[in-house]
Amino acid sequence: MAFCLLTMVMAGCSETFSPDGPFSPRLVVYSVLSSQSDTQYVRVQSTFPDRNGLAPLDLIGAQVTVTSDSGTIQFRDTTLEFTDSSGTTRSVGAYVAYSLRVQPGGRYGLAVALSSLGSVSSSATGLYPGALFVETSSSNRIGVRIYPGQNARAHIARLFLEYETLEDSVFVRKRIEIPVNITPAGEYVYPKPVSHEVAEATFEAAGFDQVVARVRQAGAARLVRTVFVLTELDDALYGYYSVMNGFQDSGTLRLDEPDYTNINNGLGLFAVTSETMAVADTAGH
Amino acid sequence: MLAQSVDVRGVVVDSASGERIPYATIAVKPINKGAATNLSGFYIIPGVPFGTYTFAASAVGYSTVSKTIHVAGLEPITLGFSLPQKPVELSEVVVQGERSLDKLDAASLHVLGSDEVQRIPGAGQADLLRAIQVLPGIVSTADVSSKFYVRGGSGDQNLILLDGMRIYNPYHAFGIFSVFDPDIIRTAEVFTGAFPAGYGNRLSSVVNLTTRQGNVSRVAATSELNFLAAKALVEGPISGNDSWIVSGRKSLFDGSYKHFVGNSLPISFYDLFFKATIGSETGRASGRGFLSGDKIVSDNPDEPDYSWENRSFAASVSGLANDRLYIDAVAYSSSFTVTRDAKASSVIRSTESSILDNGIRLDLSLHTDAQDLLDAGFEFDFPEYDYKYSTPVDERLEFNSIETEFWFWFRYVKEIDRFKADVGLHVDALSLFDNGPGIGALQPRVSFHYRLSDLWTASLSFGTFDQREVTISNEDDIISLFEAWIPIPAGLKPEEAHHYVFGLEGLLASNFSLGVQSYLKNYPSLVVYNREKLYPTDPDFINGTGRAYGAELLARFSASAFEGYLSYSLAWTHVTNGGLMYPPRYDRRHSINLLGVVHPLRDVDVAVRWEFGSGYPYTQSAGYYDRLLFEGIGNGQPVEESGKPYSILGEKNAARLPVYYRIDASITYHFVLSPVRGSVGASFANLTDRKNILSYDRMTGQRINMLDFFPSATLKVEF
Repeated sequence: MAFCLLTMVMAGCSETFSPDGPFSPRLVVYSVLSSQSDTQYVRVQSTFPDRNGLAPLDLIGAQVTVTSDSGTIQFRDTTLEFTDSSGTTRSVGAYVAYSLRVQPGGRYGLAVALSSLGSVSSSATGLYPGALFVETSSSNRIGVRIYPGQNARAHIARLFLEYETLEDSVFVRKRIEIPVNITPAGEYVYPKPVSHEVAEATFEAAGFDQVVARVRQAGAARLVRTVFVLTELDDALYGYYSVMNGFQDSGTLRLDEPDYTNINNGLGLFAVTSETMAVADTAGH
Repeated sequence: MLAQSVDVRGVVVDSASGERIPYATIAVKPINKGAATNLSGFYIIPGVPFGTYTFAASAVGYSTVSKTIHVAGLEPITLGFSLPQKPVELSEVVVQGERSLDKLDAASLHVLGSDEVQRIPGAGQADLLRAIQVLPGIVSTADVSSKFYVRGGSGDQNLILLDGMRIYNPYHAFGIFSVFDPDIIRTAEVFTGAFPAGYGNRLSSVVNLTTRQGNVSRVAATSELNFLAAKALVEGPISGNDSWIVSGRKSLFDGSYKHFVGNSLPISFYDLFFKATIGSETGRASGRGFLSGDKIVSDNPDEPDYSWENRSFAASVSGLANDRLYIDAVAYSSSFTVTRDAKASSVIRSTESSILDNGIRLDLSLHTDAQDLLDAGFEFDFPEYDYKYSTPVDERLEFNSIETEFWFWFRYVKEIDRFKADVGLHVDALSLFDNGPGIGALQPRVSFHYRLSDLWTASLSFGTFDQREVTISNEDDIISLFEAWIPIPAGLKPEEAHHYVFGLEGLLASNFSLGVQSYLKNYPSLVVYNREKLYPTDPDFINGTGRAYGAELLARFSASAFEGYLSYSLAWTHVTNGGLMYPPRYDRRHSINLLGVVHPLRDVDVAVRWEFGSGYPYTQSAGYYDRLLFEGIGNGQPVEESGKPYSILGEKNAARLPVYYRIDASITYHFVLSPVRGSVGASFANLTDRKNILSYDRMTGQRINMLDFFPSATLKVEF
């Protein structure tokens, strides 16, 4: 101690510092089972030690299974290609199963194992579908009454305009979302997940009218219909989404950035959504 | 039966300026009686038997003045003292048989004068809140922050009073130094634990600053210029013993601040203090005000701008209500406002927070024949909290709350032979009405002292404390620029602390004092972030617990041309939040301060300070992963998203930063060019340019160090 003190007094040294502790790679798994399709995906990655390095690619060679009351389904690896709104195409490695239908109330257990990283697991329960009805439709707003499914924790009520455009002599159906409202600055505000206790949603007619005008301006051949879509979220997905987005609490006084996972022995999320549609009569708009 | 004794009372003042001197001691020889002046410089020695005695008044930094008088009669005798200043040599540790600042009978109390503050070398200029970090048990987590932590308590647990005005954010420019100009400070009382019954609503410490009243003899002025700020102080008499003082500071040379934070960031600040005092020896009235403001303005539209302001005003009356009853009454209004303008930032929201505190306080002190002291008082306080912020959709929301606080207290100080008891009770009256006479409402404050010999005293103290307002800053922030105060959310218990302190202090030689203390602070209730919060409906905060304990040593030595000062602390602190126990980021195991002041020549001071601290806790990164945000829920397959890199944190605060040390030095030459006198000096902060780590960006790997080698010069002129 005395020598250390003397050394410090005599020389202005500095030590190298790294905030990194011991690194032990862990599996990161994302999967959201949807009642809308029998095709389900699981994405498998791992943690990485180097903040400056590239993240490992989506991992292949993992054993991915989902167990339900009807048995165990093995997922196989695949590559998904997605084109975003700017036209950029990305490839994402994932695991897919083509015959997994999510049943309301069904219990699903996810297991992922990779020899070099061990195994992780999680569970989820299929959601009972909810319902929604257009409650009010006036010249300046469209109101929707929501009846969430009995085990849904949250939902998003969204409004879409479906229209067709003529492309190479073929009518192509497209869908565009209607915002909840438009800010004074002209930004479109879209709905976010809200707790199941929220029983209604409202859309300003001005948003609807603007979207219609845009669509027509872009050369839409005809407007087909407007559709309400109620997407329901389970506990895990709503919790994860809330934490990732500042608790979704505009009034929060918190200044930290926590993490959330329901993957045992790993990171990521395993959750369930369900979707219900209702065609809306918005002929007045 | 005829009276055989009479009271002797008066004030002790500085012979040059007429300023009253607190903590001066008056000894009556040859009988064993005496007294110390209060913060108004007033003393009373009750029941002096008739006879002829020599009254000797002394104070640190002043020559002793003695007066021999014959005590007799029916009316109290008024005996004032005017003490001449000693040449700036050293603070006397003690003269045997007299009390001094270092032989105070309150455990965990340190008293600093302005001269002591100004002799401690620092960065750019002398600063009170940086100077008190020399005291054992007080640490700061960064060179760029004068925010301090006392015996394991968080930064918002310290009560800071300026002449009775509450100052909620006493920091300039990130916290590089405080808003208090040392030249306006008369005395700084720093209670690091078990403070007496008259203070409440804070858990850890009280910094009670008493300002100067102004020169009662003549108009005087002081101006000072250094690399960071310029200041001017003007003072003078009104008439008789009445006086006024005005002091202001303004920042200069914004580029100097990049030494502190590594980036060039335009920082500007000002502070202004004014005070007028009128009265007589037995009573006086005072009005004062304090204003300070800070701005941090960035040219980058994506970086927010910050500004904060303190506005405090007070009016007080103090003096004898009758022969032995001293009253101190103050009405105050303090406000603090902090604003964060997000500008074009897409991640930061514009926010504004303010607290307005209006209150009155009355303190009564009654002296008895047996030299006991009875003290009682009450305080009404009406804090108003306001918090405005913008949501991501530019909606403005506001949270506003007006609270009522009411405390009263009793205190009895009794001395019998070698034993002295200071027994008090602080009552949080609203908690009494709300929750009944539980330990939260009734807060005992007890101190016992036993004089083991003429040179050594042992003390034992105990106290309970509560606190009803906290700041929302994230304790993991390196520097918190936005410190919003809020009342403790409904449904949560007030914060609570129990202090236990044992101390031993005395003299190893006539010029060598030594004090050791050990302490234990239990926190049965703290307000902490809710680690389990997921949904908007979950509370932001919950109650947690904590504990802090340790031992401290304080040694002071003085010789004819040298003064040495050594403080050492050994401390542990932990907080329990939702079942997780961890050391908070201000938990420093070892702290050492070594200060030496030498006078190689009559008009030259050389001061060197060496500060050492073991590393603060931090949370190691345990790796990184891509975190999907699921922003497109219900719109396609969420797993197609690209993730954002996220740093996985390991066990909270389980690792330690490298050790910290820094050497500061200053040299000052005092000159007299009649009618002007002054000083010119140079200071060197971080003399060895030690790279003490301030922060580390986990994602980019960028390391930011604390203050690098920073030379500065100061010119001070007094008229």
